[in-house]
Amino acid sequence: MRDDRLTDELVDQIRERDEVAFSTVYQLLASDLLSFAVGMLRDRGAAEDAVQQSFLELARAAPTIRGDARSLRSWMYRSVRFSCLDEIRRRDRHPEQPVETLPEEGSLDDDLLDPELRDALMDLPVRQRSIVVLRYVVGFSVSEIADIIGTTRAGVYASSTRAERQLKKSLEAVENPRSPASVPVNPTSKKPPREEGP
Amino acid sequence: MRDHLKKRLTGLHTDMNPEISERHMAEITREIKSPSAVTPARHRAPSIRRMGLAIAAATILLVPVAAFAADDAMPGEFLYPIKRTTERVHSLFDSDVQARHRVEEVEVLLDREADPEFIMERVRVAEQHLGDDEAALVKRFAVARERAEIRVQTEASETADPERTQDSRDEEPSQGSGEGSSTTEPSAEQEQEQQQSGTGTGSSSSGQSDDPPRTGNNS
Repeated sequence: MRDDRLTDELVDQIRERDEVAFSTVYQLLASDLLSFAVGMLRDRGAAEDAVQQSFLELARAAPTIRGDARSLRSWMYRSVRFSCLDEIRRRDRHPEQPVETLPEEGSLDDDLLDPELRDALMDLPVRQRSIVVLRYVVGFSVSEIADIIGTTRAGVYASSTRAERQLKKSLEAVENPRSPASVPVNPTSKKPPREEGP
Repeated sequence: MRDHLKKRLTGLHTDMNPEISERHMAEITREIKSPSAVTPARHRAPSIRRMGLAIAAATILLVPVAAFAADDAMPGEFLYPIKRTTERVHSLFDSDVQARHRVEEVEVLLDREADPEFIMERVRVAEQHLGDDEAALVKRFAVARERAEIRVQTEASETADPERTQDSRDEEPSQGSGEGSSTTEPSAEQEQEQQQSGTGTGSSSSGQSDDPPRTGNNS
């Protein structure tokens, strides 16, 4: 979850490309960023690559970074989100190609945690998925999510409500497949995720 | 169910493998020591410019259609700012229009079982628009506010004792679940007010490096 040890002083040191500061920021943010990316991609290997990519971008852009600790945190999440969107587009263009990265040893168990819920998440449009993962898996407030996604608080509430409703339906369909109210869901669906409008 | 879903989602949180952390830090350290630093703003500028032009063109072409389509828009939806703009024009002829729309929005959000916290935000917005002379509207608003307060209390009791609530739901399987229509949401202006009053980060206004660079191609 979010950590208040990410201070403005640390951000100043990041601007000076201080190695220790980078290590500290990595320790503070990497797990949350990974949780976000895994929620977006359902692929731990690709998620780890997205996190690494965002830190490399931070290292390159460090001297020009502006704002305070909260701005830096938002910047990192936006960066991971962009990487995830690129990966999702890549998969849409080449659905038959396997993901280039392989899961790391010891990481498979995480991927198998609550597979029904992860499948249901993957059926959500990308924007709704981002919002739900940031809100409930990472633990951001609505205002912070609005800042990361680049929308209004109202937009976050709206997407979050829709997503929760859809998740509930999908999970009910999996848990009670004969229920007439349930919507059929194919967990292995190759249907490309839909990117919502702004 | 809602509370149960949140708990399951929270359980998806995962930690970075120490070996991967070590490998990442080695790469990051190498990048820090590298003399070349890319300015991400250059990377993003052309796409932002193109997007701005496209949005401007679309706005000019679609304004009449959008104004018509925005009549039923709800806060947080794409067309809602257009509805607010047309409303301001209408209010020159019909002074109640804004208050009426705000109260209607609260009623719709209640029907859609939107987030209680958000509904209360909209109740407060509606209250600001109400005048003393709009008696019928004040009455409708009072009813809507009462429903909203009941929703908040129900949500709070579910959070406090989810198992009990779940049990009571299990006993009443025929209870309606709403018809699955879309959402909820506060106005853009209220958003801005809240962000300006301190909850916002201002990161979006802080210049070229506030957005991370987009990687890969966008085609």
